[in-house]
This record gives sequence, C-alpha cells and structure tokens, in this order.
Amino acid sequence: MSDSLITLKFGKNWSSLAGLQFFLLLIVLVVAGCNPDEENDPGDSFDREAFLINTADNLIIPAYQEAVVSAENLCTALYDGTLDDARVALKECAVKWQAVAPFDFGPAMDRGLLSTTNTHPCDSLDVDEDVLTGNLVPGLPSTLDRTGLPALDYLLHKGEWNAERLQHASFLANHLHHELQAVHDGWVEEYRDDFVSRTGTDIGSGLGMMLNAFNRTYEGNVRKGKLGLPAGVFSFTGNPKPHLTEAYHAGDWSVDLLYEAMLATERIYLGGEGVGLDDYLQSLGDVSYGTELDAEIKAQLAAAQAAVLTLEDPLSEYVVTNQPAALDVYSELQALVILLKVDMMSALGVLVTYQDTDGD
Amino acid sequence: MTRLVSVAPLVTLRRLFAVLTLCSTIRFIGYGWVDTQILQPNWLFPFDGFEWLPRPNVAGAILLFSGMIFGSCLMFFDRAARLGALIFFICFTYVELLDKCNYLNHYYFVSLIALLLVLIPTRSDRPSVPLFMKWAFKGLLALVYFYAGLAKLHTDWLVDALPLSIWLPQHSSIPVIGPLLAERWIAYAFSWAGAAFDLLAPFALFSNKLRPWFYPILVVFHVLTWVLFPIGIFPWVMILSTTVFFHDDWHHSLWNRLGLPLTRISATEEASHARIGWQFVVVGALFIFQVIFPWRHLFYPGNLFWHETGYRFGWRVMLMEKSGMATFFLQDESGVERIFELDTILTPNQVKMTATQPDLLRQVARKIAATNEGEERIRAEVWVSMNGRRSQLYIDPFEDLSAPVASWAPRNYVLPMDSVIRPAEWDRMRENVRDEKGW
Repeated sequence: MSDSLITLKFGKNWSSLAGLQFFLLLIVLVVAGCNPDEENDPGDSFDREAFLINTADNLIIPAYQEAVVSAENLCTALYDGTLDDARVALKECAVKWQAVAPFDFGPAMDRGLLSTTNTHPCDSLDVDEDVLTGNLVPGLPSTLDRTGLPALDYLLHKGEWNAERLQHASFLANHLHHELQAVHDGWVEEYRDDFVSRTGTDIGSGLGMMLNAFNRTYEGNVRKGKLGLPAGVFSFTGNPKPHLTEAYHAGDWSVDLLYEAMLATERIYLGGEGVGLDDYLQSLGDVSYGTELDAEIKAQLAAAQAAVLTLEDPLSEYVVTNQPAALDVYSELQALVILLKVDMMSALGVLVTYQDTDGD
Repeated sequence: MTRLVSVAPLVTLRRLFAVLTLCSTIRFIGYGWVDTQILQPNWLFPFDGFEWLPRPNVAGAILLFSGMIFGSCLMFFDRAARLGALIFFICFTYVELLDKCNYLNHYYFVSLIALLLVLIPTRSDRPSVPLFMKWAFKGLLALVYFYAGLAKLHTDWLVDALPLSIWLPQHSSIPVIGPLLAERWIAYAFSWAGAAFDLLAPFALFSNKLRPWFYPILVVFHVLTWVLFPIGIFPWVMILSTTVFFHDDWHHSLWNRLGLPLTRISATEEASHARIGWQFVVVGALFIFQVIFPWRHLFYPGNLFWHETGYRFGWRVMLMEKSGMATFFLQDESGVERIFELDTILTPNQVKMTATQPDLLRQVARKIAATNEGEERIRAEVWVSMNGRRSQLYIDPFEDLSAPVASWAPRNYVLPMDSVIRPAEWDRMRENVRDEKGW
C-alpha cells in the first residue's frame, strides 16, 4: 500500500502538487497568450464595461437630465404660465419620466423614485384635502398616492382651478423636481463610477441590477400598470378598470405615455447608438439564443409598438368599449415579457440571479 | 470488508468536515439566508412526506442554526464526534427538508456524510476500524463523481457543449483566461474534459499510481468551478473530503505537523478482523440505496432534464441552464378567470425555482387553492427555455394543478419537449383548446 509520491512527507507531497498546478497554470497562460483572433470571431467576448459605460453615460444620465429639465419647466409653467402651459409641461414631464422608470435601482431605488413620483391612481379626495390643509408630507408610505405625476394630473385637469390649487400644484411639482434632481445627482456625483466598475456577473453587478430593474419595470409598470390593470387582465371579475389608467384625468395622453415607455424599452435594449443588449446577444454567435433571439426580440418590440399605436385615447374609455382589442395589445406586450424574461435571461446564463443564493 | 484498517483517514475527514460545516453555517447566516430562505418566505414547499415538519419561527431558526454550529464544533473532538454529527445532521437536514426550492446536491451530500459520521466511529484514540467503514466514505465519493459523469453523457452536453457554451462566455472579462472562455471550442473542451474527469475520478482516486497525478487536477478542476459558477462550498467539500483516499502515512504526518498526533494501528490489529455488526448492515443498505435511487427516472419516459421526475438526489450537478416564467390563472365557480401573481407571495428564488419544476408548480397551486376558498380550478401557462432552446409551452395549460397527485406518479401534464409550442402560436390556439378541454 505504500506510495512514495503521495504519502511519505507532507511537505514533499504538497510541493509536488504546487509544481503540477503551476504547470497547468502555465499551459493556460501560454494558450491564452497565443490566442490570435479576439476581434472578429462571432463567439467572441463581450465588453461588459463598455456596455455599462454606454448605459450610464448615454442612456441613464441623459434621461435623468431631461427629466429634471422637464420638471423645472413644469415648475416654471406653474409659476408664470397659464393652466394650458402647465398641462403641456406636465405631459412633457410624464413623457420624460418614462425614460427613467426602467432604471429602478441604485439611487432611484434608494429614494423610492417610482413610487413617490408615479403611484397611480392618486387618491383625489386626499389631494383635495391637502389643497385645503397644506399639511402634506411627501415621501411617506401613506402619502404615495397623493404626490407626483398622478396628483398633478388630477389637480390640473379636474375641479376648479384656483390659487390654492395652483399653490399645491407648485408644491407637488417642486417635490417632483427635487426627487428627480436628487437621483440625477446621485448618479452623477457618485453612483456612475460605482456602477461602471461593477463588471462582474453576480446579482450586485451593474448588468445584474440593470437587467433585474429593466425586466421588473417592463413587466410591472408598463405591461401590467399601463395596460393590464386598466384592461381588466388582473381583476377578479375580468371587467376593465378604467380609473387605473395612467394620466386618467388628462385623458388624452395615456397611450402616448405607454408608447413612450415602449420606446424607452427599445432604446435600452439597443443601447441607443452604442453597445446594448442586442450586441450582447449577437456576441453569442449564430445560435438560437444568439442572433436568432436578437432578431425575434427586435421583431416583437416592433410588433408591440405597432399594437400600442392601435390603442386610442382616452384609454380609460377604450378599455371599456374595446376590451377585446385592448387584450390583444396586452398579448403583444406579454409576448415581449416572455422573450426578455425567459429567452434573454436564459441566453445570458448564470449571469443574472434574482436572489443571491448558491446554485447547482 | 471486516479487516481492520487505520482510522487515520476518517479522523482527517471528520475534522475537515467539521471545519467546513462550521464555516458553511456561518457563511449561510452571514449572508442573511436564514432570513431570506427560511423566515421571510410566506410559503415553504417541503419535500414529499415531510409536510408535517413544523416550520421554524425565529426562536426555532436560532435553535437549528445554533445546533449546526454546536454540532460542528463537537464533531471536531473525538469523544463527542458522533453526538456532534447527530446534532448537526438533524438540524441541517431539518432545514433542507423545509423547502425544495433550496435543494442543492451538495447539501444532500453534506447530509449523507454527516449521517455516516453518526453511524461510524472515528475516534483517533481507537486506531482501527473495519475496512467497510472507510469504504463507505470512499464509495460515496466515488459514486458522486461517477454518477455526475454519467449524467453528462447526453447530447446537450457532449454534442452542443450546452450549457457551458452559454455560461463560459459570461466570464470573458476575467484576466488572462477570459478571452479564451468566449471561444466555442473551449466550451467543448470543458464539457468533454468535465465528463471524463467525473467518470475517471473514482478509478484515479482508488489507484495508488494515478492519485498523485490526479489529485492536483482535481484541485484545479474544483477551484475552476468555484471561480466560474455560483456553487458555494461544494468545490471545497470535494477537495477536502477526497483526502480520505490518501495513504495513512499522509494523514499521520498531517496531524503530526499540526501537533495532534494520532495513535498508529498496531501490527496485530492490522492482521485481525472485526465482527459483522449492525453498522455493516445499515451502512451497506445505505450504499445500495445510493446506487439504485438515482436510476428511478428510468420509470418515466421522456427527457429527464425536461420533466425532472426523479431528477433530484441523483448527483446531476450544473447540467442545465433552465429558466421559465409561470402565470397562474384562478377560475371560480362562475367560470371567470383571474391572474394570480406569484411574485406577490413567493420569494424571487421561489418564483424562479417553481417556474421550471413541475412538482413545485403543483405544490404552488395547492397552496393557492388552500388559501383562496371558492376557487374552482387553477391552471398555469408556463414558458420554459432549456439549454439555449427558445422558450416553449411547458405544461398542459388546461391541467387543473390544484388536484392532488402522487409525487411519484408520471407527470403526464408536462408537454413533451419535442412538441414545441411558441407564444404566438399559443395565442392563436388558446380559445380552441379552452373549449376542447372544457374550461
């Protein structure tokens, strides 16, 4: 049973282990060093850092900048414009909001930006009360449905426009601006570099956080929140719930906001003009989960956008009078969820886990 | 089988295992998983036959995890080793049985090793044990490798290098070897080498000639898997426990160096035999069970990776990239359907696990039925993508999932993998099938 190599001396044994491991490492290094073609091979590596930089600098930060400017304009319009000016500014602000909504992680998540600025429907009775008392404390869990865009939507479109309402609307617009500005500053001052440096593959990596938020907001805020809920997909009776429509009181721009959200989804997928998820999938090569999937996602993005354009404002009436047609549009949005959540996530492999646990 | 041999390798195994379980328990607590995996979830999905296990509250969880820590510590010391192993085994296995969503092969492996350490005495001051006791550990390790290797002998793994073709390129930013990992041929090389490694491991570990060459490869292999995949402590369990194959002298010199010398087995003892006792029967039965149980999937036709009937407890490790999405529909007596949103009640991990595992889909449905009175039937539209295939309909979308079914019954409601129904197609078919199936 004696075996001179493995047994006799503890030290000798381990030095032989170290020697062989060094040898193996050397082989790997040499092979890696001789690897000539790193550029053109379809199965080639994807530069995650370039992807994160593009996402942060060309998508996220500009989106927040525009949202902040639109909120500023809303404040200005309320201060020295007409009610119509304010309504136009509000719509613009709601449009710009759609472009930042998918980035619900980091500073946005820390501040609960999505829920403080756009929890709809708003509680119009509470908003009326706030106009009278002026006691609103925004940002609390209990006041989410009396602040942000939905409360402004109500104030600017329903009831008698008067000085008290104007004052409260200005207060809400300032709060909206303040929140957007804070998240924007969080990105510019600190979080951007942190985000870009997280090139890893775990749940806390830049890509992991971004994809989680992207899928979650598309599924929850866009597909469900903007169409599924009003169209009655989730209700007990199957009846439409028109009052759950986004921008319910304005009435004539709910579809525009949904369409903007679809454009934002596409922009993020494509990475704008730069490195996006489409490049990521293409880098996987000419396989079913690579270029083929990329083509199918692009086709479904187009189909979903086209379907959204068949909807008509006021969406709150459309879901009642044309519920079957609205449900067909919902199916197109749902088909995109499957492609993004199942096929795309599967193609990206172990990269993205929704919760930090071991696997096997 | 009953010939007396040195206990030294088993002493090493037990002590290393104790250190490992201690670290692993602390790691589990440190990552906050007690909270996220056991306390927070609204629902847990226990293994079949263990639904009666009381679900621990905070005090219970503290007790269980203190038990694991205490058991691990006791396990290190000779006289308390078996008691420690017993405490650890009970607490650890209890937690594992609570929720299928947390199942990992290496947790099962840890439970089995702990059980063997309960059954088999490994005191260093009693220098001899019957050969079969040493073989119980070696046999289990060899079995794990060999079965893991057999599981890799299928077309996805060998012909298409999947899922490694998907997983490896994600690590292309690793310095030096990163760019290499994006190469298709590397995925093939890793797949074939991985299968060969697993299949050869038992023979190489048992062979005195090959072991010195094989063990460094084993270390590199496991460290590589540790770097590349989120598989927790598994690589370290294997690296440390395979030292049980080393020669007695190695173990003696190890403990000499650490200042804890072991008593050597005497020449007279080495020539004698132990009586066959109850341990021989129990350990033997356990081993035979281990050999047979992973083959239960042969009773179920179809693709094992797809329907997963008999998939667990078979050492099928890191074999597939499977992701899915399940939408549950509740139908009340009047026939009206509504969507039940899983993510409002399950944890993200549970949502992910249930979407690709048919028995969990049924367990979820039964839970929904139990908590939503007045609902007549529950169905689910489930989309699953496996090993790079495009997503396809996974189970019969008009199967009433709330109806009780024996866990060992064939899962006929899982659609065959080759009957590919894509989302757009299903949208066109749905209402016809609904009428057909009487929903």
